[in-house]
Amino acid sequence: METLQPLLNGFAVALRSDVLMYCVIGCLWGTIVGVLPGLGPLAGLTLLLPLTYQLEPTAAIVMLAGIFYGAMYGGSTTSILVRIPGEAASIMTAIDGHEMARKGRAGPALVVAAIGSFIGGTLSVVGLMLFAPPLAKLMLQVGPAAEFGLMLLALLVLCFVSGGPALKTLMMVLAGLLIATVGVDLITAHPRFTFGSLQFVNGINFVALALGLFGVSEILLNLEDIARVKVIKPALRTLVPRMQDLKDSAPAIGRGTVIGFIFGFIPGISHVISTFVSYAVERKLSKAPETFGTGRIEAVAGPETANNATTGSSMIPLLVLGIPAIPATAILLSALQIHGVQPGPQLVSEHPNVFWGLIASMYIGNLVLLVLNLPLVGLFVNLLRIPYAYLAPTVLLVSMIGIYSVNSNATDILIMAVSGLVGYVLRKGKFDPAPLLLAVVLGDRMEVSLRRALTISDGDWWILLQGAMSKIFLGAVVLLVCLQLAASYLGFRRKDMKEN
Amino acid sequence: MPTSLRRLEVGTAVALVLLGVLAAWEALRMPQGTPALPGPGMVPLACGVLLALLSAVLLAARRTGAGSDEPVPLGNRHVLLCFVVIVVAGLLWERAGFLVTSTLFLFVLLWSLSPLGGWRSLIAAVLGSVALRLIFQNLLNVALPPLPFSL
Amino acid sequence: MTRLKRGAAAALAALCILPAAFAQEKYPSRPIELVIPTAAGGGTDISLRVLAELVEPLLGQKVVVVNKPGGGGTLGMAQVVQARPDGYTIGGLWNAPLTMTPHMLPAPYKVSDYSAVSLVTSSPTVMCVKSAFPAADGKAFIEELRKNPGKYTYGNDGVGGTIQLAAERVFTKLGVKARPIPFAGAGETLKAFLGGHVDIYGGSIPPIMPYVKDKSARCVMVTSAERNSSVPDAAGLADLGAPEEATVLWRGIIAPLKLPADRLAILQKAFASAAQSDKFREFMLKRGEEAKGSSSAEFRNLIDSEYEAMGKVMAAIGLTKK
Repeated sequence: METLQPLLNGFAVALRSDVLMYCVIGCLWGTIVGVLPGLGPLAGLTLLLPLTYQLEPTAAIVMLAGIFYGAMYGGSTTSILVRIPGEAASIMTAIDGHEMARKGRAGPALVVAAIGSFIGGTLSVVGLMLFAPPLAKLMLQVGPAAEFGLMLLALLVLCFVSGGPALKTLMMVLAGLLIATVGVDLITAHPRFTFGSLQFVNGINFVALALGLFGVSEILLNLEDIARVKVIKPALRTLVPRMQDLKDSAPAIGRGTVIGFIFGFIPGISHVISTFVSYAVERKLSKAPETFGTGRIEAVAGPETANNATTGSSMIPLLVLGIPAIPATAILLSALQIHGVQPGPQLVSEHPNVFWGLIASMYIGNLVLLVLNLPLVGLFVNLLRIPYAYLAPTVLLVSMIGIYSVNSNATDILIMAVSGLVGYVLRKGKFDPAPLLLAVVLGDRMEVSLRRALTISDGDWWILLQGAMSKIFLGAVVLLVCLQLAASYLGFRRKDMKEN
Repeated sequence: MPTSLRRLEVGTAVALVLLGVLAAWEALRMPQGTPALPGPGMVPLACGVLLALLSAVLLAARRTGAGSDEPVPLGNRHVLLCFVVIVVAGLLWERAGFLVTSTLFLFVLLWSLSPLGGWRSLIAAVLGSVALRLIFQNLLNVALPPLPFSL
Repeated sequence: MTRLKRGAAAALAALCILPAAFAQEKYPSRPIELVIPTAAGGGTDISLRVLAELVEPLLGQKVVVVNKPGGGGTLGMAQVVQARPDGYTIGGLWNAPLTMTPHMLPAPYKVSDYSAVSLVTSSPTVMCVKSAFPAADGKAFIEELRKNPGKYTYGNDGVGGTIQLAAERVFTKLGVKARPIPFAGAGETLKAFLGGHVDIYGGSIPPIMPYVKDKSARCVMVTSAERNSSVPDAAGLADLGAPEEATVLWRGIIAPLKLPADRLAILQKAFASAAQSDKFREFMLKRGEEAKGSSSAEFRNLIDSEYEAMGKVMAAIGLTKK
């Protein structure tokens, strides 16, 4: 019970009226940037960062952390309502969430997303509080070689995401991996596919790509026959999930929490990866995997829980080691440094108020967000009453503003337009753009971690098998491949027997 | 433009074969490194070749008859207009500033999609643009491109 | 800010430009845009945003920060170079887009295409090892590298970045060799160093400080000529006999080339005095950096000599344009 006393002190700090106020402001702001497409937690953090210079460190970090996990709540809203991912971690939510909305079940989808977010977010703070130091030690063992193993594992899981034919999925994955190589090579600084232009030196903007492939393509599809797009008039009765919905989503929420917490350790892209791993797992475990993509509530509950469950674990390296694992926590680090607080092994002893105040505020913040988001469901669902002829232009314009605000670069708007058209054609031809998008996320890091590991070992490929973590991840890869092969072999046999 | 699923698949496969070949060609001009220490060209080369091969497999399968001839309508006036309008807005964005671009954008889309007439669309577009600018620039602190000539 | 203070500041600003004010319109008469060619939230962004706030009362106008990342900083830099030279668009950046990246990427500007306003901050790069490393100080460290060329790996924050080039510049001069491992930022470098995946940490001072304090890491050299007060045990380049090869991470303000001299002088004066203010000095000290506030000529000299030195280093390690 030695954690209890400092935690109580933390609550005393977090419940101080000024700190509590900044916590609520942060959560509210996070929800807003999460809802608005294009603006994600990163943009939300940087826009508010200058305001924290005047605050004391605890209030500053509490508010900024609120933006970070608050955005994970908001992201699901536009995904479900108009199939435009509010931020990258809500891509998977868009698939089944929007199908539910089309069937008039936007309410249950949003409610379950909020509940899942709350459970995932809260449990991950518990994990952060109890296991932070040992987990941080474990994380240090994941060097470039082990990271490659982890990425390989994620790539394999990625192939289970799509329900389409394997050949088409593989084509999309390869196209995604190819897109991921655009830009200056991070190992040798050689420009790849930039054609002498500076625009693509940093690669293709992922948020623009995602908004285009998922969001703009959806709008283009709907514009084909604008009269056909029904205006959905939700009744109060349809807002509340049924008992069966909750029963269906409970296991998905549980698994999503674990998946999110574990994948929160992946540097850089944890929140995105965790959602598609969760989706793939739900699909794999389901008795009716072919119904995924037609509006399954598990496919909303799992990923939405997972992306919130990453928030706790991605704070661990920041707080325990002083290492930001993802761009959002890098900004939290800056905010702390501005106030002369250097996170690291001495944080808990030197600044107990900051550490425990933050932990306590995350419990409070998650509760605040749940209370904030449930009533909002009723409000957001009414957006569907707006005729598509008004909704579509507004949503497009808001996406354009959002995407522009990230880099102040109008080229990103053009990328969004072109990938929208490509996504439209792909979906018409029954190619699933989701694997392409996820391969873009993975590809970059996978190649870099492999080549970084080989640079460290000076060309010795055995480095990939050195260290316990590398062995675990590669072992899991081999196991998955064997299971898959065995399953398909047995599957064929069974089919043969039936035919005979 | 009416087409069929088979033709769309064939078209996409052809495009991806081309993409793969072009990428591999371009990747060949990058340093390949050694098998021990792969250079920047290795991954794009491998992905390009594999993409071209797999797309060719799909192409072959569809040419020999497997696949569905289910008719698929591809694109119409509205789809094309919407795409063009986004591209034009992207090009104007920094040159004409946010207010001009967004007014134009909203006006064209509202006029062609909604039952509002020309005048009412224009008014709605102006009001909408000003409202969005107020929300994003003044409330959310997002920097949007100003009108040209520092007006 | 009270109206009185603002008025006083404006009067002060007006006084500075009195000689020119008769001939032309008063400068600055509207907000000034400070383009920062990196994403918000990084070291350069934060330092310069704080500085911008301190400059505002001195100029009597708002300074609006615009982040324009991309192209290794060259996109935002190009925007400044191509802007109207009226003093309402200026740039704030770190070394790389000016003295390093142009050797590597087809940047649309030359080193002579902009005017230097003022160097505002500088901080040395530090090289640290685990406590078990077989070298206790800077001299022994270099000896160990000399004995084992190419054996040790050092993490840095990106290929062709300030840290790698600062290190290579010294290593080339001293005739030693270690293998650079590029990571995406100081955080990843620190993680790989603590996990034992690379032997040497190369980066800024603040992230490594907690580990210096608990004695698990030891800093052996800095890339400035003198020693640094935060890590007093680390050898400066003067101690190693190569003071002229110092490369530090600095941040400065630049403006378009044809900016009238009087406006340049106003900007230089405002930024230099803001950088030298106690508030800024204290703020930078907390971040392990030193506030500067140089003259235009000093900054120009630094850029020119570093540009030339970097050209040589980058050619030597094969990082020039492809």
